[in-house]
Amino acid sequence: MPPPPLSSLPLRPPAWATALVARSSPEPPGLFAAFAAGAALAALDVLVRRDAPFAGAWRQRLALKAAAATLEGKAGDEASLRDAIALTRPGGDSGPAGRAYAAWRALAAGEAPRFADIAAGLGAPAADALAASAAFDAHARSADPAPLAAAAAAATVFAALPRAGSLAYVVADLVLAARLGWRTALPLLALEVGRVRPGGNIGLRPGEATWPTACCAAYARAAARACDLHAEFGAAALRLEAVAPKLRAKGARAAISALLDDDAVSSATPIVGLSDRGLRRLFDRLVELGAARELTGRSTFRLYGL
Amino acid sequence: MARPPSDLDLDLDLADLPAELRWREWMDRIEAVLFAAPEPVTREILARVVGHGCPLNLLIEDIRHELRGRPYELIKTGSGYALRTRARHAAAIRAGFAIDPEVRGLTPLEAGVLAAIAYEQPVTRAALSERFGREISRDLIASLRDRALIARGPRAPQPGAPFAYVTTGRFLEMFGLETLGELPDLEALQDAGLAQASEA
Repeated sequence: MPPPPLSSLPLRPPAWATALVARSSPEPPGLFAAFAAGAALAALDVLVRRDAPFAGAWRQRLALKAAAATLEGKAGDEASLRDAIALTRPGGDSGPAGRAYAAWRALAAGEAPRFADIAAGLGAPAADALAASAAFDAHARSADPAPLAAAAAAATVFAALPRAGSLAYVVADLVLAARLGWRTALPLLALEVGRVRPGGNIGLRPGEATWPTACCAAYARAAARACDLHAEFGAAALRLEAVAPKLRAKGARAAISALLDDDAVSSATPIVGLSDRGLRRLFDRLVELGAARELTGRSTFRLYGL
Repeated sequence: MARPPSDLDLDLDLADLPAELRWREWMDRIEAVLFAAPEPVTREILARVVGHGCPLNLLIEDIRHELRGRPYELIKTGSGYALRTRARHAAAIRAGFAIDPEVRGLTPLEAGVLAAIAYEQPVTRAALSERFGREISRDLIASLRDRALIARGPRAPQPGAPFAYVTTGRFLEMFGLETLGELPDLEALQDAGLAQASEA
C-alpha cells in the first residue's frame, strides 16, 4: 500500500501543552496559558497551511460548532442548524439561527469579511459593524502575540457593545488569523467561550483582568479540538478516497468533492450527471462501505458528511 | 471605501462653507433623503450625501433633537433609518384616511401567532397549531404573509416538506425593533406572569 498522503497525517499539540489548560485543572496562571496557546496554535498553523483536500469540510464543521456554542436552546442544535441551511432555497431566509450559522460559514470559507454582512447575519444592529471593523483595524496590526491581540480585540468590541456576543468572537478570530498570517480565519474562540452572559463565568468576561488568560486557555483548547477534528476528517477522507475507484457512477468524483468541501451534503445537491435518486444511492453506498456518514438518522431529507 | 460613481457631482465635503453651515447642510440632506425614501435607508446610502468620515451618528442625533415637538420622528430599524409619524397620531391618521381599524389591526390570535413565530422561528403551521391547541388556518398565515410580517423560511424535514415561517424586516420595522435580540426576554415575561411557559 502507498503511504498515506501528507495532508491526512494527524498532528496534535503536545500532551504537556493540553495538560496545562485541561478543564479539570484550576484556571492556569497567565504564562502557562500563553505557553499552551503557543504550542497548540503552532500545531494548528501547520494544518491550516497544509490546506488538505478535506479542509472545506473541516472548516465548515468548526463553523457549525461555533454557531451551536453561541446560540441558545433548540435553535443551537447542530442538527437544526444543518437543516436550516440545507432546507432553505438559495436566496431564501433560513431564520435567525440559520443566518448566524451562515455568517460563521462565510467566515470559515474565507469570503472577504464584510463586517456589515457578518453583523447582520449574527443579528447585531448595523451600527455594530462599524465598532467591529474599527476593533479589527486597531488590533490586526498590533505587535502583541496573536492570542493576546485577539483577546484585546474581543475586549474592545465588548467595551463598545456590551451585548455583542458572537460578533466579538468573530473579530477575535479574524485578528488571530491576521496575526498568524492565515489567509482565512477559523472559528475558534466561540468553541470554548460560548455564550457570555451577564454574571456568567468568572474570568470569561472580556474586560476583566483575567480575560487575556482565559482567552489564551480557550485558544489552546480550541486549537487542540480543531487538530483532533482534522485528524478525524483526515482518516475519513482516506476511507473515502480508498473506495472512490469502486464507484462507477457518472458524477461520483463531483459527489466526493462535495463531501470533502462541506459539513453536510443533501442528496438534492445539484451534481452534473447524477439525479437526486442517483446521488442518494451513491451516498447510501458510501455509508454502507463505511466511507461516509448519514448525519440526520432520518429516512427522508437525509444529509451526508465525512 | 470607494464611493459609487455619481452623475450628480454632489459637493460632499462643502469645504467652502463655515463649519456651522456645513453641518446644517449635511443634516438637511440626510433628512431630505429619509423624507424621500419609501423604505428605511441604510447607513451606506446616507454616507453618500455627506462629507467623507462625517460622524453620521452625531448628525442623526441632532436631527432627532430638532424633530422633538414634531408629529414625526427619526427611527432606527432593522435595515436602516426612517422617518415615521409618532404613534400617538395613529388615530388621526386612521380617521383621516377612513381606515377601518378592523381591517388594519391584527386580531388577538394573529398577534399571538406572530409573537410565537418571532420567538420560535423557523416554525411550521403544524407546530403553531400544536402550540395554540387549535388549528392555525392557512388563511391566518396568509394574512400575516400578505402584510409582509412573515415569510417562508426553510422547509421542515417532515412528510410533505411544509415551510417553516420566519419574521421579516418589515416585522422589525413595524414593531420599532432594530434586531430580534430586542424582543422582550421570554423568561422575564413568564416570571412576570405576562406569558405562559411553553409546554415543550
